[in-house]
Amino acid sequence: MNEGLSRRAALRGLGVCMALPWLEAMTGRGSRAQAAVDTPPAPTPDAVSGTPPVRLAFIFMPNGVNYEAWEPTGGGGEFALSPTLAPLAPVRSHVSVITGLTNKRARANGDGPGDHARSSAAFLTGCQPRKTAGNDIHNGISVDQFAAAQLGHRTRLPSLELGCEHAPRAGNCDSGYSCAYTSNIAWRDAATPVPKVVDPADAFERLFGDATQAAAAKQRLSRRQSILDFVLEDSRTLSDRLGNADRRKLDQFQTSVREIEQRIERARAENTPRKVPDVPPPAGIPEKVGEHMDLMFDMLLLAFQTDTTRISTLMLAGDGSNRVFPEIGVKDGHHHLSHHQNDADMIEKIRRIDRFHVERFARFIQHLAETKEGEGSVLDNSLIVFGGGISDGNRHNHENLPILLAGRGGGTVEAGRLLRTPKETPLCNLYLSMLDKAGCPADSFADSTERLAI
Amino acid sequence: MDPGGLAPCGNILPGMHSDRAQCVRRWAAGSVLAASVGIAATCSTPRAHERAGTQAHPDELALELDRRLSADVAPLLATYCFKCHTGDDAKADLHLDRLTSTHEFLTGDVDTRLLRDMVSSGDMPPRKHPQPSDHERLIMTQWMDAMIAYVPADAPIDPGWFTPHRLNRTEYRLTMRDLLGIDPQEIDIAAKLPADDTGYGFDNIADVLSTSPLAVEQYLDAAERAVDLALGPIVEFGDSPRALRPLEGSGGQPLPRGGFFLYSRGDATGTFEAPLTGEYLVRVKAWETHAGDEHARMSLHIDGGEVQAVDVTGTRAEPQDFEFRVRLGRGARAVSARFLNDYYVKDVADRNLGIESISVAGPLDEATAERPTGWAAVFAPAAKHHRDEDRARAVLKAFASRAYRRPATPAQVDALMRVYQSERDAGGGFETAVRTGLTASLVSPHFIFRTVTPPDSSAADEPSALDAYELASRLSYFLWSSMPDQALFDAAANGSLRTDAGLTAQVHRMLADPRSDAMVEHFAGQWLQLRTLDTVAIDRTKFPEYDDALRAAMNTEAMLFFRDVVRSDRSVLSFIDSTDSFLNARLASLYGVPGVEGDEFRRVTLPKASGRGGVLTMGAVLTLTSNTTRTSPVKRGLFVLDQMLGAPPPPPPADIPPLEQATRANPDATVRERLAAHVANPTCAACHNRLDPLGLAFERFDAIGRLRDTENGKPIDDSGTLPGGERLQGADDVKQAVLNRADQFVEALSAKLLTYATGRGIEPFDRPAIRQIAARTRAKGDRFSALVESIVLNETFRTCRERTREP
Repeated sequence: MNEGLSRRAALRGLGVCMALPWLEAMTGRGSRAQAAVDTPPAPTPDAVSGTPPVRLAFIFMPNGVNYEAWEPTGGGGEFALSPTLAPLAPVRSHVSVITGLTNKRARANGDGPGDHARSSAAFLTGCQPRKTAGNDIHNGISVDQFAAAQLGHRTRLPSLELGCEHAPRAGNCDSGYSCAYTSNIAWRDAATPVPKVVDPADAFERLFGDATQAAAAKQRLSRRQSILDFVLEDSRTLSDRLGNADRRKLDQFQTSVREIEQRIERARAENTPRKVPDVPPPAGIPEKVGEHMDLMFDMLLLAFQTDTTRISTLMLAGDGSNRVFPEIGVKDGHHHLSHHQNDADMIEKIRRIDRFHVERFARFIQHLAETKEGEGSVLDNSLIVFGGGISDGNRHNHENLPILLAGRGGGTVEAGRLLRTPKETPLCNLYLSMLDKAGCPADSFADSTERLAI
Repeated sequence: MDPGGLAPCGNILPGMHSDRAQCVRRWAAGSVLAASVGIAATCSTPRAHERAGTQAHPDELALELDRRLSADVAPLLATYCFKCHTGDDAKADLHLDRLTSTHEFLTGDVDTRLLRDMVSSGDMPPRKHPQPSDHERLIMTQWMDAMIAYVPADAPIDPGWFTPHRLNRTEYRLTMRDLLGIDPQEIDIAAKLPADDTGYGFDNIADVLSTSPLAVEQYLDAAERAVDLALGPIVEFGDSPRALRPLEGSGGQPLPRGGFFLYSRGDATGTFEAPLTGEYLVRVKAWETHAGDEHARMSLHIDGGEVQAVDVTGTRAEPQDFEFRVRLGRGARAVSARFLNDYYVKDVADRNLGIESISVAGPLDEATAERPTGWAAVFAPAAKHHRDEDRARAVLKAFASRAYRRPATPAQVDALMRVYQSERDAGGGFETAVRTGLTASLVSPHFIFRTVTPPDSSAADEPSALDAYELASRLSYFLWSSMPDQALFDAAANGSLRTDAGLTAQVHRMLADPRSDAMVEHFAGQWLQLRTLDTVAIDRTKFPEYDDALRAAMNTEAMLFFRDVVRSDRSVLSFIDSTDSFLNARLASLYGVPGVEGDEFRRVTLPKASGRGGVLTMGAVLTLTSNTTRTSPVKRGLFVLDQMLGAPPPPPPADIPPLEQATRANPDATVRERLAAHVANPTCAACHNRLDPLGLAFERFDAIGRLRDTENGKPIDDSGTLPGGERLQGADDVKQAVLNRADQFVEALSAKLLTYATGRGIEPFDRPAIRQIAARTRAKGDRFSALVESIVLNETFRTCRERTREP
């Protein structure tokens, strides 16, 4: 048996063999695991109500889709899956298809070409990214980071950013936009993209690395804390000597240092060693694209299952990606194919890629649905968006985006529907509703106009 | 500060805003270099330039802007705007018909920024009037952006700002090499740092390099690891024995409690990890079962080499202790006791040797021990002191002065001493506490960032000189991607770095140093886009010859060639054309160059027939500008315009797909035939009439850079005509065309290298500096060192001003 297979099999089996920290906390079996971890001491809603927390994930796919093969027919609960969405059949009761959503901030709006950069940059921010190759990057906070800023302190990692493709290593990314825009969908604030982890081994390390060697680790944590205290102080004195505009970089650094410091504080307060999943850590980036994606989805599953974080993003690739898919016989680049100009052969290949992405997602949803939590599954307590910031890659249009929503948000969302929204409905309306369900409601988010009934 | 962010330094024409037009930064920056010499940065239908600028001495950029104004923009203004904005009752007192040159736009009583925003936002013309198409709107706004950004070539130098510069992954890795001796060939200490975002085509742009919690986490990890790797484990001296058990061996069997019983010739062996090279005590507890007329004879061996042999007289009830003083080298050592004189007569006599235990103590004392180089270097400053606190302070001060790349201030050392003290208070030993301090300094922003502190006295937008240490770092990160070495620190300390002569001397010394390979690798890798070579997924069924080895060979050729230009101080024009290159057998056979055998690269004189010479016809560049299954003349043309001439055309309109399928119905169509569609469409033709001829001239080279005579059975046609009427036939003509524009090429290269050197994107205000750098380089025979010198000596490298606007 090849190692990749056995690893995946092991991960699949995980759902039954590993109890959730949340569950243990609720039933008292795991002593006071979760409650002790939570700082500040204000009880989390879940600790009060006894309902599992709601997780949010946002999966991004690049370059739009062939929309004709994407859009299902019918409406409400009675609809037929399209050819591209056919792989969702086994999980269709868990997944809603939403049509008609628009991200108008991904449009040029006077900025000229650069739809790929805007597609990824604006996907979760709903803000118009400033066109610059770098000197004054400006976007907006992304919905995941908005949620993480309020809910993140309840878990060891406030959020987890994953990706399946490294950023381009040279050249400009898209028509005068810095690669920061094409490579990142998570933005901590307008000027600060949150980088993603691409190697599954690093992701595993990030999730569980410091859970090992409990005794030595304690000493190390206290040492690190004193180092970080020093770093913060050093950084403040340095910052004082710099000009106003220059402080921004130091501010960013300080914010990051503080976050790690808080994480260390929480870890030091932990009295019971955290559980490390009993699976072999991934060995690195698999050669096959699909295996890489599956493995990153597995990391996301583990993160939710162990309650290491409740908020995550995953970029299957940066927008404009020209990746090839030899395993499904696609040797031309994705971006190249997306500009098919109605060439039948190229359209067919684009559909194959779209379907391939949906298959990966369906597999992930299946696993989440099989992972028990409380009375239901982890999926029942999640809301997971899958989609992209371009509708049709051949046209670069940003209305009628391909968007799926999986999960029931702790029973607050009716899944398995075809939801047709009116033309030009802001994508952020969906996000605004998701924030409600996740327990961090906002009056509005970016260009939202109202809540979307999900 | 003006919230609108007015122009800095007062060297820009009235009405000019420094902060406008984010949207077209790259576009405007391209225009900085756009000499109007036939292959301009702009796209327009070629028409004779009719009106000269109205300035006293309009330079070529002003002339080019004027040309575009009259050819492309003025007709649109006339069509869509004149209805209201002409004559005595012109709305908003805006008399567009009176503005007939760039100069008039910039000096007239017109808010150019407002004008641009009105057009780009669609507010003007009003809805009820005829509307320009998106493309027409773009032509107007792009021209306005370039016009607003216009800076005369002879304006005073504006050095721009110095954003705190986080070390990127490369810089971090190489700094750790030079600071602590961590060899990147063995351990990539930066492996887990998040990838750096890029901007302006480079990954060392300070404004783009951000930090995240993920990065800080990794900085902590990497710092701890680096200190451990460099200093080795913490060593306690003295006679504290560690038992090696269980012993393993041959010619016998294990004893209880980890010993080993030798009943025939053989060894009992244990492994000892010697933390340092030094003196150790090996103790062996042994006994014999006596037989014959000799005692059991035992010898001690280290890694198989005999130390000493002894007779064993002890018995199992009363084992005997032996002690050997040995010198052990650092690392895992096999320590064995060997039984030398087995004696056995069946049922009569049986001499055996029992090894109850082997233990090793040490290293015994510091005087005879050899510390690892890293440890010795870091702890050397402690030698002069006796009190722990003084020793710690000396070590941390010396280390921080290198890690922070300038003498550490007492306050900085005090801060590190608090880290030391808190570890001591928690019960940590001297060395543990010092190491914690060292680790802390490697996470300090003084290490992670390069900064420039403005002198207290300087006015916000007045340029001020970098101090000597700031300049030393700027220089070393430019040429070495790493920290200054001692000689450069010395030059900073004794003030020689502040003089032109001192700075020049350092440039030459540093370029000759192997550490300048970093510039070769990282500048060449990004300027020539070699880093993207491995992401071009060449279809291997169509090109079975293309494999990893060939790709690596292509990359090596380009790197070796670039390095040769640096080390042999050749003319930078050799990048355009050259009679030699560096090949191995694989590449030579791809190129059809005879007589090159084996994997080794060597300098080869290129035969004329090979069609090679210079970077444009290298396999690497030809491949990375191709698509997976075929050549891409558009990409090749763009490469020439952007990388060689600094005159990239604006990106294609969003709704027009890359040309590919216009003639898809005919699968046998050549690439040239497919490209014909560009010329048919005037919107496409505006740019492609410059891009395509340049790219098509390379059609004799296929997608992996191999010469060919036919494509799909049809003969290759590599001829073309540039908009100005210049005829091209083949790659040699493109090279000649670029050489004919040597000034423009040297300016373009200067701009790219200046971007890399300063870690800041080129702005319109950089035009005068680039002009100076290129002119000086040309005056010095285009030598590579002259280019580097000209950058380093330029004010833009040696000074900076505060940023006048919050980003």
